[in-house]
Amino acid sequence: MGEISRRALLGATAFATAASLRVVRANDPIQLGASLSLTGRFSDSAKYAQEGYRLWEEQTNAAGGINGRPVALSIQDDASSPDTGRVLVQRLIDRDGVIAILGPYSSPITDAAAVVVERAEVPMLGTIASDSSIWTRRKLRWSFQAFPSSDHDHQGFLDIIKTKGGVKKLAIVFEQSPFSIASKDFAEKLGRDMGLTVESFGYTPGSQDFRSIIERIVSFEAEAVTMGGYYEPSIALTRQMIERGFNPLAYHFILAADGVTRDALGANVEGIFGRSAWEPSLERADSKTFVAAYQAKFNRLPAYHSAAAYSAGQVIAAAIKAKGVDRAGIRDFIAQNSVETILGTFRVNETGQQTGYKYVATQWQKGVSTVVNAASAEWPKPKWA
Amino acid sequence: MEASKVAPVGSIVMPIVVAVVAALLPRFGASSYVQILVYYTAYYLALGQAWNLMSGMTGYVSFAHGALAGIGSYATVMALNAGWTLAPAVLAGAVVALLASLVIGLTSLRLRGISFTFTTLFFQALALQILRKLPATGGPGGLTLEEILPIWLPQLLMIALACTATLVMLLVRHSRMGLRLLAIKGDETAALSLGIASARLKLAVFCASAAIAGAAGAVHGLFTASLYPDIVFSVDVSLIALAVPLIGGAATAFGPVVGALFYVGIGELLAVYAPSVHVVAVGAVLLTVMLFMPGGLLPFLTERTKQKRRRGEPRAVTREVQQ
Amino acid sequence: MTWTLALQLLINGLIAGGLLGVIALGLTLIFGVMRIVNFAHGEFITLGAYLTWSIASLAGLSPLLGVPAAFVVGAGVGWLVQTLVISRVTTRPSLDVLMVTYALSVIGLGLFSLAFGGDFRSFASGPSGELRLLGISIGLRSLTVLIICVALAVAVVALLRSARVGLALRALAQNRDAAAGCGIDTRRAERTAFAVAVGLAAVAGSLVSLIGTTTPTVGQDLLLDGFVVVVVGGLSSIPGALLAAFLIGLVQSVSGFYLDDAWAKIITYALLYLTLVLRPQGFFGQEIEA
Repeated sequence: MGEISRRALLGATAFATAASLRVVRANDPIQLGASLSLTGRFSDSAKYAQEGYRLWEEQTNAAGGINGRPVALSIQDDASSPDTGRVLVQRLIDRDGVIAILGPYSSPITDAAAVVVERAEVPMLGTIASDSSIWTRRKLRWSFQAFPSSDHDHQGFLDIIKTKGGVKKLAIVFEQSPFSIASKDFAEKLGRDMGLTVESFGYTPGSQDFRSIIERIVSFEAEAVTMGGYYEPSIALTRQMIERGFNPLAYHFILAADGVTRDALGANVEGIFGRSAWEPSLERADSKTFVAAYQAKFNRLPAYHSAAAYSAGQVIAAAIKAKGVDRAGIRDFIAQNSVETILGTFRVNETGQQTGYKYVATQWQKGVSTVVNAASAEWPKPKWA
Repeated sequence: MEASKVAPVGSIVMPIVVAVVAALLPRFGASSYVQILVYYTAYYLALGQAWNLMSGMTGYVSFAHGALAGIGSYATVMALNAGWTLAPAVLAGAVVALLASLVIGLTSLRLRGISFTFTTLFFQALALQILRKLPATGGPGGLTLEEILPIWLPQLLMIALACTATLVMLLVRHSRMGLRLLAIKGDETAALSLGIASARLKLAVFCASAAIAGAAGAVHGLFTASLYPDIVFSVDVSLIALAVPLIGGAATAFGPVVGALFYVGIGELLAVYAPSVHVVAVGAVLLTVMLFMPGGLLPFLTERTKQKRRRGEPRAVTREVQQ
Repeated sequence: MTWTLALQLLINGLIAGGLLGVIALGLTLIFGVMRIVNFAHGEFITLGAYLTWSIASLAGLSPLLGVPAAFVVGAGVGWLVQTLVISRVTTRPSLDVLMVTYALSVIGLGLFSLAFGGDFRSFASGPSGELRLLGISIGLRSLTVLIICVALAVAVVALLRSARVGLALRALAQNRDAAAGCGIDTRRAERTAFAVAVGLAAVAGSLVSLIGTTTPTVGQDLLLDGFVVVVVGGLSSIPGALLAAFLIGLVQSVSGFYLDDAWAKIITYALLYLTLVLRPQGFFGQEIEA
C-alpha cells in the first residue's frame, strides 16, 4: 500500500487534533458563532444578515460589552450546504467554545444545525427561520425560532381582501418547498373560510418560466393573486403576467416590500401588496436608532434580514445578562422569557416556535413601500402599462 | 500488471487497524469536531469505494451513486419510522438501492459507455423529481427521524462500512474477477471475444456497488436524522462519489482513502480560510489530476517515491502497478 | 382544448424548443466532429447569460447586444478551452475525456458563484410588451428569442451544407482518418467546431437571460434537457436534434399546462429512458460506440 497513505493518515490525525485544541483564559471575549450562506443560493440575503450581526457586535462592545466582557461573534460560511454547516457548527462549538449559535438561512441547513446543537446541548436561535416545520417535525430543546412564521405570510393580504370585497376567486402561487407549502396551506384554509374559491399553483424551486401557470390562472379567472416564493421568481412571475396582459384586482407577493422591487418593476410596482416582519419606516424608537446607525455605517437603508440579525443579538444579550455564559441557563432564559427587540416582542411557545413577532401588510403607494391596513390600502390595483 | 491470487496480508490488516483506531478516537479524548471530520472521511470513502468498484474498475462512468445512496437513506428512514429495528432497517437501505441499480442496469448496461452514463445522470434527476412529488416520501419537506440517535452509532457504522468497502475493493482488485473487469475497461470487444461474460459481470458489480452506496446512505440518514430531497438527491453527492476515487486513484483499493483524506482535509482548510473557492478548488484539482496524473494521486506519488529509491539502479522496462 | 389555447401552447413550445435546439446543435456538432459528449456545455450557456446581464445591468446597454457579444466571447472561450485542454485528451479513453469536461463544468460553476453570487439576477431593459395575434399573445421578448433561434438554426445548417469549413466538419464527422488523408486540417476543424458550438451555447444563455432569471446553475439545468434532446434525436444528427428539440419543447409546454413543471420534467426524462431502451441510437442517429 505504501508509505504515502500511512504517513498521510498519521499526519492528518495529528493536524486535526492540534487544530481542535484551544487554550481559554478567564477574561476572554464572550464567544458566539453564526452560520450564514455567504456563498451559494442565498448570498445576497446572507450579506445583509452579516451586516446586521456586525452592527450589533460593534454597538454592544462600544457600550462596554455584556456583563463587562466584550463579545466576539464568529460568522462562518456554510456555502448553502447542510454538510458544511454541520461541520462548521461543530467547529464553532468545540474549537471556538461558543456559548450559543445564531442560525442559518434555509430549512435544510437550519435543521442540520438544530440536530448538531441538540446533540451538543448548545442553544441556537433561528434568526431568519420562518419555516415552522423545523419545530413541528421533532421535539427540539435547544433551538428557537426567532422570526415570524411563514404560516402567516398571506394573512395581511387576505384580511385586506376580506374588508374590501369584490374578490371571489383567489389564486395562490407557491414554491414546492416546506416553508412555501406551509404558508400556502394556511392561506388556502383562510381563503376558504372567507368563502373564496381558492386554487393553488405550485412550481419547482429554481423554476423561471411561469407561462403555463399564468395561462391556468387566466383560465381560472382569478380576481386576486398571491405569490409565496422567493424574490426573483416573484419578479419573474410579475413580469410574465405583465407581458401576458393579465391584470388582477389585487396582487401580492410576500417579498414585495423590498426596496429593489421598484427598481425591478418601475412604475408597475404601484399597488402591489407585500408583507414585512420589519420596515425601516416603523415608528419605534429603538428601530429608528438602529436605522440611523446602519445608514451611518453602510450608507443605505437596512433590509429586514439585517434587522432580524440585530434583534437575534439583542435576545442573546438579554439571556447572557440574566444567566451569564452558561449554555443551559441561556437556553432556559430564551424558552421562558419575552424580550423586546427592534422586530417587536420576542416570545416562543413550548415547542420553540415564535409567537411574539408579527407580520404587517405593505403596499407600494406613489413609489414608496408603506405599511397599510384595509382602510389605507389603494384599491383596486392600477392597470399595468 | 501484478496478478496475485490473494492480496498481501499487510494490506488487509491495515484498513482494519486504521478503522479500529478511528473508532476509538473518542476514548482518546478527540473532540466532537475531530470526530465529525472522521465521520465525513469515512462517509466519502464509502461512497468513493462504491463508485470505484463499478466505474473505476469497468470504466462505465456513473452519476447515479448519489441517488443510490439517497434511496438507501429514504428506505432506511421509512423502515425505522414504520417501527423496524436498526439492523433490518439499514439492511433495507442497501437492498432497495441494489434493486434500484437492477432497474438501471438491466435497461442500460447492454448499451455502451455513454448511454449508460446518460441513464445514470437522468436516474439522479428523475429520482429527485419523483421523490419530491410522492406524498409517501414526504414531498419537498422530506422525511424525519424524530429521535436523534447518539452520534457514536452512525459513526461506528460508517467507519465499519468504509473499512469493509475498502477490503472488498482490495479483494476484487486482486482476484480474477478484478482482471476481467479491467479487461472490460480496457477494451470490451476484445474482452468479449476472450469469453468474458461482460454483461453479467457488469451487472453484478454494479449491484454490489449500489448496495455499498445504499448502505452509506442508510447510515448517513441515521446521522443527519432529516432527509430533504433537494439535498439528498443533489448532484453534489454523486460528484463526491466520483471525485474521491478519481483524485486519489481509481481502480485501486487505497486510492480512495487518499482521495477522501485529501477531500476532507482541503475542504476543511478552505472552509476556514477561503470558503468561497471550495467548488472551484475541487474542479481544479480534478482537472489537474485528470490531465497530468490520470491514475490519481496515490499511484502518482508512489511512483515518484519508488523512482527516488531506484535512483542509481537501471530503470525497469515494465512498470509495476501498486495497489 | 380551444383553438387559441392550442396555439398558445404551441407558441410556448416553439420558444422552449428553439432554445433547446440551439443548445442541441452545439452538442451535436461537438459529438459529431470529435466524438466527445461535452459535459461543460452548461457553463458556456451560463457564461452567455451573465455576460448579457452584465451588459444590461452593469453597463446599462441594450441586452440585445448581449446576443452577438455572447457568440463572440463564447467562441473565443471555446477556442481557448479546446486548444488548452480538450486537445490534450482526444486520444484518451472516453472516461477520461468525460471527466475532463465534467471537471471544467465544476470549475465553471464555482467561478460563476464566486463572481456573481448565488442569487437570481435579472434585468428589466430590452424589448417589452406583447403582440396579439389570432387571439393569442406573444411577449415581444419571447418572440425575439424565437426569431433568433430560428435564424441561428438556419445559419448553422447552411454553414454545414455549403461553406468550406462546413464540408470539412462533415467529412470529419463521417470518417476522421479519411478526412485527414484528404488533407483536411483536423486540429483546426476541431477547434472551429468546438468554438462554434460554445458560441451557440453562449447565445442560448443570452436568450435565456432575456426571458427568465439567471443563476449559476441556469446552464446546467438547461443542459439536462439538452442531453434529452440529443439522445432522442441521435447524438450526431443535426435534423434529429432540431426535430427532437421541437418535440421536447412541445411536451414541456403541454405537460406544464395540464399538470405542472415537475411533471413536465418527469415526462421529459422518462422520454429519454424510453429512447435508450427502445432505440438507443435515437431516431436519426447511428449506433453509438463505447
